[in-house]
Amino acid sequence: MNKLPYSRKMLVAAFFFCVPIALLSYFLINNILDQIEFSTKERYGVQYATPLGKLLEGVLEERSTALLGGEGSGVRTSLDQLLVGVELVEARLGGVLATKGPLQALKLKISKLNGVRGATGRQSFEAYNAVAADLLGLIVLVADNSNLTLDPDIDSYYLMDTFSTKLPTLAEAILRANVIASRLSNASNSSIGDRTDLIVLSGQIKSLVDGINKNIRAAGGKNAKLSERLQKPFQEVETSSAAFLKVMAISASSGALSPLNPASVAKAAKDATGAIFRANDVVSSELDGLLVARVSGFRNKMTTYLSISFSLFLIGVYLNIGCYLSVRCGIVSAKEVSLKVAEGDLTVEIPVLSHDELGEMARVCNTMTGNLRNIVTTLSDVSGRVHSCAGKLSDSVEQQSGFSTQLSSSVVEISSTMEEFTSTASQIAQHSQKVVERADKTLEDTKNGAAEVENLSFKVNDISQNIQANMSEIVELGRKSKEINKVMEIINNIANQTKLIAFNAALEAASAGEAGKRFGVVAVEIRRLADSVVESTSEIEGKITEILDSVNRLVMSSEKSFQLIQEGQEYASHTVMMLIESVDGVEETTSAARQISLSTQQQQIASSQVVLALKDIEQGVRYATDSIQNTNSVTDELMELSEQMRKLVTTFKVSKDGGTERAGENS
Amino acid sequence: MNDKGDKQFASINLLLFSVGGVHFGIDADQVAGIAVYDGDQAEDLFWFHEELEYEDAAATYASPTVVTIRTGGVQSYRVIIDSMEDIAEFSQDDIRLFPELLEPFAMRRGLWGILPVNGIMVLLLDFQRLLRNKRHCIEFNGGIVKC
Repeated sequence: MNKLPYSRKMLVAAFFFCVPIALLSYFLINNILDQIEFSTKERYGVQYATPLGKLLEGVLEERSTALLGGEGSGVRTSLDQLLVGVELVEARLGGVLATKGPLQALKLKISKLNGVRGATGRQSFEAYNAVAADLLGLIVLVADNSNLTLDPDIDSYYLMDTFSTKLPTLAEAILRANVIASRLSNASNSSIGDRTDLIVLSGQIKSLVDGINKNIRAAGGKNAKLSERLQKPFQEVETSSAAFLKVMAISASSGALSPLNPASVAKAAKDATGAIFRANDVVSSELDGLLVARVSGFRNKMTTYLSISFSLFLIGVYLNIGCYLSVRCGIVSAKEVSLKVAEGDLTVEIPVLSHDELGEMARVCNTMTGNLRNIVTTLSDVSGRVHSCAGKLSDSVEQQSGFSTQLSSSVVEISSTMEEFTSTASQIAQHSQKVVERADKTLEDTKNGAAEVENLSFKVNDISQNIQANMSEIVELGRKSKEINKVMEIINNIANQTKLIAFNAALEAASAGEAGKRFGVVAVEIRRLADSVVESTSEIEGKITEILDSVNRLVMSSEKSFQLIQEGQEYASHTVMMLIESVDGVEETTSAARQISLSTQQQQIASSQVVLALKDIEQGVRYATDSIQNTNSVTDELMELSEQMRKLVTTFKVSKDGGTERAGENS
Repeated sequence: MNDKGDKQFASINLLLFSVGGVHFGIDADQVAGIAVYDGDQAEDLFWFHEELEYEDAAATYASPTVVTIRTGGVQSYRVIIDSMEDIAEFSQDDIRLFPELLEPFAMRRGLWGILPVNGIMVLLLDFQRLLRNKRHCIEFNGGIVKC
């Protein structure tokens, strides 16, 4: 299907659209024709059964004449004439209704009726009964073979039933009852069982009349006009049959075989059969009319179906051609535009000629072309950028390659450095072990030092106490020196007073003149003595002052020494504390040194692992270098691809201006 | 007598002392007595630097000594001096008088001559003349010493 062009697709679609319509029409018409044939065959049945009914009427009439007395030859002629009518119908419809065999048998029996004319009444009666029975069977056969018994409509079905089975049987029953009643009226001709037969026949007649009435009501229930037309003849049938039964009932109820009135019975029977056969004619014509109407209805229906089918066919063809033309126009324009687009012209657009899917497709294609145009434009810019980026990437990759080479050499240097670091870590571990040993020794020395410093503190404490005692002595010495000073002041005062006295004496001596010179000399000497005393005391005072100064200095020095000793003691205590803390610190140092030793050993192991890792990194850097070289080649290839893409993009036309602008020419 | 008088005239006993680093000498005959200053406050007791109107009013005395001056009258005159050094006899030839130009001003302060002793210049002071000038000024200025 996909390989077919669109025109053939439309033809195929039209074919598959029209064929179902044709098939449907064919089956419908076929069905209607079947129904027409069915109904026509029914009409054949009616047409065949009508002369058979006439023949039956003749046979029954002749039977009555033959048994009750009368002119027989005239009747014979009548039967032959009636048989000719049947043969005519047989010649026309016998092949269709398959009545040839039964009809031959019937004709044979009718021909034999001439042989029973001289026979007894009962033999004739039986012979005529056999002919009547064959006729009734033939009528039923005709009804069966002509589809009358399969009639689908209620009215025609019940009319058929009345026409083919009820009315002939009723007529035969009434006339047979008439014969039996006639025989009962003549005691010499009667036989045992006639009255019983008469009673049975009366019941049959009554039952047949009821059945006929029901059939007529049923047929008229659907068709009111038919009911009106049938009302009168069947009213007569019912009335005459009821009258016959009444006469028969009076005769039968008379008890001990009271003689019947044959004339009244025969008249009632004749009236009844006459009414029955008239009704039969009416039913025959009505049934034929119904069948004709049905056939006509079927024909009209067939004509309607044919008209509708042909109209639908024409509409389908018209729509198909219209759709084909519409689709073809859209597809052709889309094809032309698509060819241009395929050649790279993105400026063309499909004209939107309809609002159907093709129009929608045209709009979508136009949108797609516009998007493609934008994409190609963008792709053009992108290809240019990709080209430039690929160039930059190539430069970057080259730089990266250089960096990678440097990195590789750096990693090699780091590896060698880490190996040295590993050996150094080993040495550090050895030294750390020595440090641990040294820390243990230091811890022991520190503990000894703390004990020595504690002893030193005790000694300093003793010295401090001695200095305190010395200070007390010195202070006492200073105090005594001050007391000496006071004594010296007293001496000095005395010397000064002596000097004043000496001055006064000198003054007196001076005022005494020559006489006081010796006294003056004494005064001078005394004054000199006093001066020498003063000088001596001054010297003593100076010495004492020096002593006091020395004492003060000594005191200050002692105090300072005391303070220093106290400070020394504090320092000693502090030193002890610090040494104790140092012991803790040294212990921590020892443990830390052990930890350092362990850590250094672990570091040595880690360094070895780092060396291995660095070798892996070195290997990885080599791989990275190779990868970068591959990237470089890929970048070159990318540049070539971008150039190809740019050339490819230039094959698209994206602008209507000038009609020559190509995508990627600017980039 | 003349020899003696000359001889007597030719020498003089001087009481040497110093106040504020300046050496003075007074005639021992003008001094009636010497005593230690015991902080006494009296109308006839004067501080030496006040009497000579030292510019430095805060002159310090190491060993203040009260010198009683012979006034020849009822009212006594005592001056507090410092650092009494010696009483000795000096030749009058060694005494040098002030120049005439300065003498009136010096005499107004009771200073009458200069004696060099062992390289030290000793100002010779006449307390009695000083006292007289003081009294004259008091009388002249209505009780206020302003001369």
